[in-house]
Amino acid sequence: MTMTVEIQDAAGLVEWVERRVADKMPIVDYGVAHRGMGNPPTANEHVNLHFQLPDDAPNGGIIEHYTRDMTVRASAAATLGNLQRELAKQQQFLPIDADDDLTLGEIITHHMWGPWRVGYGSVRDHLLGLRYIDGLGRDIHVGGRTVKNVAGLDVTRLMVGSLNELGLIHEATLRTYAIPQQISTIDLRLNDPSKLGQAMTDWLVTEAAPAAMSMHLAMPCPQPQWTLRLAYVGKPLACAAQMRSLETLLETHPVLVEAGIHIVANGIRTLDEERNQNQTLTAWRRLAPAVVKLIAPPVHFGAAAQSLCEWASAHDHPLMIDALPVHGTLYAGGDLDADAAGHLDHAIEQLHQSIGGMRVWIQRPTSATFEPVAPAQSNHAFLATLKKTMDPHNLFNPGRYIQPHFSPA
Amino acid sequence: MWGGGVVGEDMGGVVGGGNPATIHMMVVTESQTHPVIEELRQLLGDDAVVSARDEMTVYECDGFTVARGWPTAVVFPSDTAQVVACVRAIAKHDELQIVPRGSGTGLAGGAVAYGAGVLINTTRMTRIENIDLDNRVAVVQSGVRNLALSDTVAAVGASKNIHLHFSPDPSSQRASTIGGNVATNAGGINTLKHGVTSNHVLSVEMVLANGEVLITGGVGTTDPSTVYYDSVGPDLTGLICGSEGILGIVTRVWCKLVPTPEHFRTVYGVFNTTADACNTVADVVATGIVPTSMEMMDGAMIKVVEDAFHYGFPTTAQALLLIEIDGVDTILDDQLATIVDIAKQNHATDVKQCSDPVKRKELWSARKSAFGAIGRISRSYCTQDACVPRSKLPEVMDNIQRIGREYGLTITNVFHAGDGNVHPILLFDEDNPDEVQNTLRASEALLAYCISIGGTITGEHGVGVEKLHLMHKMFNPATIDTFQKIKTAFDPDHRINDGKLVPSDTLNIELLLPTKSGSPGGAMSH
Repeated sequence: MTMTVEIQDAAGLVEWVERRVADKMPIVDYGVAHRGMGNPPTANEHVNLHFQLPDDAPNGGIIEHYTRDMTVRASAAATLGNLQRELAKQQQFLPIDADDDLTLGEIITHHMWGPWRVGYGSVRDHLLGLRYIDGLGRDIHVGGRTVKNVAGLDVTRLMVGSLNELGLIHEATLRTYAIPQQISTIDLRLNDPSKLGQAMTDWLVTEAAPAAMSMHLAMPCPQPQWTLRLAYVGKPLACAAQMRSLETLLETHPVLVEAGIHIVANGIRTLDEERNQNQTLTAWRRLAPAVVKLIAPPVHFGAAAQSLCEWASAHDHPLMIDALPVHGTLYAGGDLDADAAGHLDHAIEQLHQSIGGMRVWIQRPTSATFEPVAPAQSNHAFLATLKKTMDPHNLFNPGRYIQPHFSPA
Repeated sequence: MWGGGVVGEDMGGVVGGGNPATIHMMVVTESQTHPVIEELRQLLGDDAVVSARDEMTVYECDGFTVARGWPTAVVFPSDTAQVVACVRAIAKHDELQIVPRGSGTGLAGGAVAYGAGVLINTTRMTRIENIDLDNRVAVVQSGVRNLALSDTVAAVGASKNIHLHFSPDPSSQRASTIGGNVATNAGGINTLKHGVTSNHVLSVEMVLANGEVLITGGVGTTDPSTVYYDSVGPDLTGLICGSEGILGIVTRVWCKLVPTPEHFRTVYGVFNTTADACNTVADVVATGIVPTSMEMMDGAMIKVVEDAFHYGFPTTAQALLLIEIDGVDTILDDQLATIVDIAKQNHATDVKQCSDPVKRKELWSARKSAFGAIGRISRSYCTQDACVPRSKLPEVMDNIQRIGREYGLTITNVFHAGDGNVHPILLFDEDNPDEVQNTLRASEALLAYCISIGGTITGEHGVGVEKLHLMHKMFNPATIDTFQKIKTAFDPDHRINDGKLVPSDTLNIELLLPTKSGSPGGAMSH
């Protein structure tokens, strides 16, 4: 039996989860942008949970905004878009890269990050405290609302990326940031990113280090063109100074000169415009039937991007690719069937053998047979032990990632 | 942190001479003939095992000198395999605890063996295994000292004009180890802008109680020097940071390296009220400027420092705020002007700017000398550590003084204002039992007050055994139970550093309980 339940407030969620724990009914919540991530639920009977606040929820789901402390406590069901709108009223924001319709809970449990991580860190770095329901139906409070806190085990961070397998988050407290006075964006064009990783550290130690960076395929393979997008934030004076440093770097750094990297556009955007642009550029990931995240050492990100492009050309598969160069993560995918996705998985496996790395499929085509995460991580067996501790009845997203051979206590 | 009239160091240096004898928790065991000692000698060699009482004096306590216990032995492994061997050997003796220890600069009694236990000291695990400038990562054994890592990275990068460093900068960084930094999730003066240890560690290798080796995060399966900035699944690295050595023994750390700031501006403002200084802190942060550090001294501390070191601070001032910014050189002056304006709007009576490196060094020296200067006015002192919401700082400062008056104690303050991380320093006479009692009670009252306004019992020193009894005030029973269950998942028989950080069912150390002599200082129950 499967059924879908919509819950619209934290108190309702706590009460509902307590009942599911009591009757030992597995709860499945993969989020809306990660439905294909990991294995399908192993429990035949389960309930699909949809924890979403009503559109007219007061304050966009913010429970308390401590404006002078620059921290916010919000429902995990609050959408990022609503949170940003409310915070903007106090000239603050969350430097989190995710679509507006995603909930805070989904962002945390899938550790979503993107271009802003370069200058601001990821949601892992902004989190101060959490409340979640554990596998015994208890309301657990971890962390707090202060910006430094070493009391107790840091279960707050443990829950980041936990894929809703250790408990269900219903509230989070995060640091907020002042909306920058100016956001200057720069688009750079290059044909071959394969050596770009070698210049990245040199770039980051200069005053041209950006607050955000991402790379996107502007022209498809086999003759690709890439766009490297940067953002500088701060006062106009600061942005202009960084822009001058960038121009100098592009003219003098041998790897960048050799790559023919050059500025094709620059402008000033509002925060909303910049966030919208980032969402537009990554919208394909929500639509494509096959999407894989490739994690590699940053120095190799460009070579990995080029290699994926060559694979697409060789197999005549249109492939979307974008990358987060500073942290060595790429997303690739498109309209691939199970066979094609399997070939891509194999190609990435070979790439891993030369440059290292791992892959996580965000969306796999129906009937795909390859593993959703590879290579297997060495700590996987220990995670099963931890899950048994925190979710002794294996109720939360059973079998999604933490498996195999989980035997409920 | 307790100090005793002689020079101590803020946040982590070994407290020199601190010897508040009346409030020691002293657990003496006569187990130096334990058979495990010979087994450990067989495994590591004679020069890597210490068991004679006179050689173990330094291991009797850490920077929290109140709580003391003699270990059965101290071992000095040089690599992960030796740690595994030690753990397996010790684990065969049910009565022995396994206690990880770095340089012993912790401030909460977390690296002390209470009752029977063997200290696994990582200070011979000093190999920097790899420095990868391209990927901005260093792989180190856990006994590498914090400053040694940054110094080595700087030297390696110098020839390529690449200036990177490991960002966490606890005041103990000359002595404290990276493993210790992980265990305590160490911060430092630069935390406000650059974060704490967990923000700068990608993966850790940890030896578990059963001798298995756990590697967290995304580390290359074939080449362990390769590490990734992303992974999948729950964040075990984040959990282990700040776990105070109760989950296992950290043996290797994959550290993020970040660009070293090259341009600074430093300014200090003088105020007639602490409230004005605290409001300046909140107003600066609200502009979007994130200073590297915002440090504050109250009036009593200004006078102490000035009397001792003659930096030229006005001794009638009630607060001094020291602010530093770093970043793009061309914009720092503009940011500095904004900060100066804010200070003046908050009634600063004097604001002095400083871009001269020599003067800057002097200013920071003044800040770092503060704890050393206390010895001039008090035989003993107790430094508390709590963190509060930044906006509450004015009322927190008032209440600290109120509590001081209630208990008849002088309390002075030097602290990380930008983080809301307060360090009230309670001055007392260790030979006066009433003052000792009052100091303990005033500390309790301070921390209870901080909890009541949304704060936490420790911002950076840790819980250890010092604040164990306050964990129940901080967290609900279900959350405490969760901590205990996680501890059990890592360490099913509670063999590793039990009774620290998380209240334990099997070992309980209560510093507030009277000893046999009747003075406070701790009693242990199993």
